[in-house]
Amino acid sequence: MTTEDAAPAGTAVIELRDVTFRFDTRLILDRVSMKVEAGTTKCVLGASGAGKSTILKLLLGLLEPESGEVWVLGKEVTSLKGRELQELRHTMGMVFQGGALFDSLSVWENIGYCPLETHHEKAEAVRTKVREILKMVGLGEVLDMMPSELSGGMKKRVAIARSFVCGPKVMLYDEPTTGLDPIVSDTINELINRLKRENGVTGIVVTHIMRDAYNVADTLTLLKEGQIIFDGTPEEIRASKDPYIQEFIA
Amino acid sequence: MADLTYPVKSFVLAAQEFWLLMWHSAIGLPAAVTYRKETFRQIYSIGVTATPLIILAALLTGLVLALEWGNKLEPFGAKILMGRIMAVGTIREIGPVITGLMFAGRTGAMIAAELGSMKVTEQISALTALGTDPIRRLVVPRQVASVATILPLTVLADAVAIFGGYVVAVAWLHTPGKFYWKSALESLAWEDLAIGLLKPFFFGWMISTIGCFYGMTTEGGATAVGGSTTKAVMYASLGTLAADFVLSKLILSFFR
Repeated sequence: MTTEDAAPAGTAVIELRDVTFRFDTRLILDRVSMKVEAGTTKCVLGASGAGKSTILKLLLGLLEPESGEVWVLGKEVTSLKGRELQELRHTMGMVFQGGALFDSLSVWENIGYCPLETHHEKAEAVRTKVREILKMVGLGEVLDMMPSELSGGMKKRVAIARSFVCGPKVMLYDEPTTGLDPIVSDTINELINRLKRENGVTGIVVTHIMRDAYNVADTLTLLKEGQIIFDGTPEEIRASKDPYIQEFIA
Repeated sequence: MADLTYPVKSFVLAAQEFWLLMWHSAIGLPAAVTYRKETFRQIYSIGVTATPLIILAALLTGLVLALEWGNKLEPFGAKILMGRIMAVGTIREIGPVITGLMFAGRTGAMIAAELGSMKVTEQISALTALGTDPIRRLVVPRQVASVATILPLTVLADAVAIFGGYVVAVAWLHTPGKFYWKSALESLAWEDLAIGLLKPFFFGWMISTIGCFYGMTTEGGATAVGGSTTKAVMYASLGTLAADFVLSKLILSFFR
């Protein structure tokens, strides 16, 4: 995918409108509204249990909100079912917190899952493509290794590679750098920026690490107890006088 | 009041989810061909690797049953009926039930643990995010592999148990071997074969569906995977025994 394929700058590619979500009786998101413009990266910040990851799952249609609308690439996710929803998911990439690599498949089968299963490309062609992508994410000859043989940082990079191999327009990252050392974190942050810069990918990064948020974010949203208490640029959050925000970004 | 209604609501929700899983897997049956590589992998994992266990369980059961029945028949001079009892009893009941119970313990646990681990590590969510239907990709191949392998395993269990009976009859009860086989073969009717060969299909489907259900609905961490596995084995085993009774009754009423 090239930048020409991406939506025009300034267009909201992702939008949540008054979204409320409950898990059993516990209120996770309370009338949350937010937008992410084309070709930008938004960081969703918040303490554990604030509902950050829930937003990503709502965008993918893995969860359904109690009320409100979830829009991705001009489509209302909650109204989509079956094949329509699957087609929308093909335009999105998701990096799960623990990587969520398929442990019964090798690295190349994990990364090549989408081209093999969805686009039915030839195995040899996919292997070649995977080899190139592995170089791009800074991994050497790990093609035939199993996920259990990889370190945490390698798993995350393989997970990123798997999620963008089919050229998604939207990338969702769930705590991509949690548990990683600063050097590996920087590699992953650079990868996120590179995908935005070179492919015009619109992204949401869920994190609670401010250093990483400043590295990748064009805009930031801070959640507290299911509500948005800040939405703005990194400069604006730094300038905020709100005691909770100050404590959070300290 | 809320506490009193919670278990009822949970049960109704679980039953609804179970029916939905059965329905979606039934309409997704062609996925066994689409994902044939996975189906063959499961046939090997569920069926082929279970063979030694089934052989051993069937052999030991056959030996014990022959010993018990032989001792009871001997005082009446009815040892000659050993072949008949072993063949009919094994093919109609013992073979399918032993295979079913072994299958419930091994395959039910394996499926629930595997899918449960995939669920808690978000691999199932990742499959969905990649645009794959997890029921078609994970459940259907396991169901088809279970149904496809349990029948040959049951036939094998029948043969081994009857052979176990032969060993006991000849070695301990001193029954002539040819009488054992003659009595065994002459006693078998189409009805026995129908009962013995229909049950495994249902057992295989039921055990794999229960395993998949508990695996796919696992919530939490490693402890939850253990809990799901335990429930899968427990309900698959009980289900096998209950289904054995119901199917026996149904098939008997059909033949009479």
